[in-house]
Amino acid sequence: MAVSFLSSFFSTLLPSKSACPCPTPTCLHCPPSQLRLQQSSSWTSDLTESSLSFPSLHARDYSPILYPALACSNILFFKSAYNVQIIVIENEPEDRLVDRFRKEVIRAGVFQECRKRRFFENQREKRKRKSREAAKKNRRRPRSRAPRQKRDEAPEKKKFDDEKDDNWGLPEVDLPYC
Amino acid sequence: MGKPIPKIGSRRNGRIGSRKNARKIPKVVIHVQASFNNTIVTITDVRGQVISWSSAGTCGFRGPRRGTPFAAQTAAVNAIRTVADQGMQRAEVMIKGPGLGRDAALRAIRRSGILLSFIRDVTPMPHNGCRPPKKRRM
Repeated sequence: MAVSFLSSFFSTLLPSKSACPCPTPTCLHCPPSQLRLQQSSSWTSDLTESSLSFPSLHARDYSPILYPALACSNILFFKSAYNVQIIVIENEPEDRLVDRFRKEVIRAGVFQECRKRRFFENQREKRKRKSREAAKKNRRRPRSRAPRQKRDEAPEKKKFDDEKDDNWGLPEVDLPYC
Repeated sequence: MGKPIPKIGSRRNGRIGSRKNARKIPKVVIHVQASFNNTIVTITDVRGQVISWSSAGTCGFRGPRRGTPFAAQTAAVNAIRTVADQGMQRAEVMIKGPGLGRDAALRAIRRSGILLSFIRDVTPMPHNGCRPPKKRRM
């Protein structure tokens, strides 16, 4: 019954995914999900069959529900693991293709990894590199966020405090026996 | 792990090109290994059996000029020229390694007019495996 629930969940998931509009052939960073959309309907039937073959439900069987894209990652088509994949559109100008590929590769961090692993780096070098990367990262984003939060909260608190602290007037209370 | 090639008859399908030179191969994989000193372009079929190869070194460049993008371009052009008449319909490109030859080889492949389906980067990334060589002191 649990298995049937799983398979029914699958069947609800998959047709809805295939009903999505054709994915723009952008670069695929996470392999399985986009590739799956392009396969024919025979894949979906294979998937449901394979899901039915699981006899008992463990915690890892919930991962198809939580991460549906990873569910078929071991049944899939590609034979080798890759870092970046790009689907080539027809009649794409070569400059645009090369630029797209380059951008995706940089985003995946391939060049950085290669440079890092080219020579051995001891602990001191590693710490230096990490602090440099952290500085680079901090230079871009959290500067815009953290000061803004501080500015918003501080004046609000001040207003509140002023009203509370003002104890000079008599409290307005109904006096008994008047 | 790997491709499930059946054992029977594998010896017969072992080599391409030695007997049947005009064998038609519809789908082809182009491997480009671009290191800092050289670029090697290998054309294989989907199973991985090599059809032809070429490198910047075999194209006549020597020494530091092998690592240049122009050398990679000529290597790619050379490799594709030998298989141009074998009726390739689709090609996949697998690029490995850092190096200046990556983009140049890709451009040359695109310019040669082959239909490309995927372009993949398959640079091998260890999950903290072997210790790399020591730093150079220059």
